[in-house]
Amino acid sequence: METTPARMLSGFEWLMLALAIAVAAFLILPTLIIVPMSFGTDGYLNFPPRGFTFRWYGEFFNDGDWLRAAWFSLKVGVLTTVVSVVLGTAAALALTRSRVPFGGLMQLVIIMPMILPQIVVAIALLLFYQQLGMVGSIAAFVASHACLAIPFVLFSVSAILKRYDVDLDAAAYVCGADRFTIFRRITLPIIWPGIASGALFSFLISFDEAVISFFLSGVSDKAIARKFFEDVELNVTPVLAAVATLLTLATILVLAATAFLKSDRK
Amino acid sequence: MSGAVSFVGVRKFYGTVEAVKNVDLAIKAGEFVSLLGPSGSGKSTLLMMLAGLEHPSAGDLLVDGRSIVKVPANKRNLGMVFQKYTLFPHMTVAQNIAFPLTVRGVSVQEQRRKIADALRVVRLQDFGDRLPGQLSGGQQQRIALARALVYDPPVLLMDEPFAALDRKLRLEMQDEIRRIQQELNLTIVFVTHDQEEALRISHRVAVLAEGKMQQIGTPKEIYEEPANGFVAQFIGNVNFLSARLDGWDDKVLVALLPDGRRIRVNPQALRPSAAPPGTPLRIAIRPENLAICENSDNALGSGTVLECVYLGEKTTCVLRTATGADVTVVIGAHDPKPQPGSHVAFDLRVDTVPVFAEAA
Repeated sequence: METTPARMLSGFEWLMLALAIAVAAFLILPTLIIVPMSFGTDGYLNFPPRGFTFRWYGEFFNDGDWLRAAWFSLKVGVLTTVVSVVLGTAAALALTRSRVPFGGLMQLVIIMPMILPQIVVAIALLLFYQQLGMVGSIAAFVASHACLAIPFVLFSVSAILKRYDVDLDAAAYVCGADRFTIFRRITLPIIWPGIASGALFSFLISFDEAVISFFLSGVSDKAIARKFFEDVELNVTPVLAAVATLLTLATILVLAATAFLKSDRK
Repeated sequence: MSGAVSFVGVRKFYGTVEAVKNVDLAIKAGEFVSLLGPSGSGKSTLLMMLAGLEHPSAGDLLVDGRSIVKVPANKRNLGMVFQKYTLFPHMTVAQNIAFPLTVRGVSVQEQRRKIADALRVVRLQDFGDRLPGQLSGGQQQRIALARALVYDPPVLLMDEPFAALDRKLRLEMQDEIRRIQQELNLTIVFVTHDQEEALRISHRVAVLAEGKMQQIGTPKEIYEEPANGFVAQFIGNVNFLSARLDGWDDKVLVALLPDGRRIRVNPQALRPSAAPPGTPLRIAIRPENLAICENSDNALGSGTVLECVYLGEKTTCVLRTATGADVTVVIGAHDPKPQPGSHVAFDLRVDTVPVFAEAA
């Protein structure tokens, strides 16, 4: 490999670099401001914070309401991930591998919940599950979140399938493997990075999702986002900042894991 | 010995298009046969049907006398090498070669022995732990070959396996596959569109065009006695001359050229009974059977030199005759090169034109 010799940046490149940093700061800083606020000693949200304490994190981990909401969101997130991965991968295989009648239309229908305004989807789902008496149930949450998450699995798996040489399957077939063995030993390992990144995104989408969660939450079974809304309205303390910091941290970890998976694939 | 293959009246329709038209071909055990033809000739379709990846619309496929038409590809126990290597990218070389063995439930010790054997046959003993992405194209194709041979299939199918390799490597792999074929006494069905490759490696060549079998024969037969104009043109270069049938000298045909000259021609499929004197003919002559000559009096013809192309071991010159036809002549490396624009005569190097004539 030839290496490019090191050289000085031109004036124009300096300008572009400064602009890029400014845009990144504009996007990230408002999120990061919440972090120091979660360590302030004042009993209300204050910037810049005074003092330093872990008190608000302690309150979060001792508050049954918060923990129940977190546990509920975690369960919904994991189940949503499982459902989305299975259905999204199956859809990707069907749409890229075989001639599905109205395949284009089908794909459009699948990604529709992603395109429609979330408030519209949320109200529709609320009315639907009210009829069924399922508001506040885990099943309703998982089904609704899966609608949002399946397109991500579909995209990430399809991206790999489009580069997938189907002659690999033919070769395995002639080698003596049956269809199931081909899927398990050849197809699945090759599309695995797409499934994994789809799964991570599914979990994030479900866990961070606020609008549908707001409408579908019941009195006792509520998502963490709903609990957040309620406390913002009725009970503003730095616990909110602590929860926000924890959520941000978790999100960064999941995204880092995705990036790691992608670099591993190369 | 096993590995005899027969195509019996095989046809394949895609919708209303007949891609393979009633093909019969019997391949002996241990024989190396190439299916040669341009794209769309049906050669790959025939191979895919043998592999079980396509299904014939009519006719039968036999391996060692048993019909395999209803046997799924994974139960046919045939080896196959594809054009694009098709190694499983997430498995090491050894795991790739082990794959057909594991699906057959072969024990791990037995697998190890067979993988070592297969790697030895393709001369890549030390490559078991590599991933396919770390190998060159030629090495990947050798591994694909090892994977196809490791379960001792009676027949090896190869679908343009060397088409993606550069010329030097391709020649090397052709020698390699001939060596392996002899070492293991394999039956090989080899699809190619490269006539030179087909002549170089096969015992027999089956020439296909537009789904029809044109000719089956040894490389020498195919080149020297092509059955028709298509085969003559597809295998090497050829000049076509129009003539009339003058008469028969035993089994040799005497043709009358427009300028009144008579030449003796190998008649191929023409029979005296079917071709009386006066029949219009098309005569095919290989460029290397023609020579530039000094004396134009008794020459076969003459023309203006359009261009001469130097090709290393030989030089070819294209002449335009008075009738407007272009004639290609090969001149030896030591012969003088005619100047473009000059007028030269050409004649046969041989007594009897060894190519062929057909009714025009």
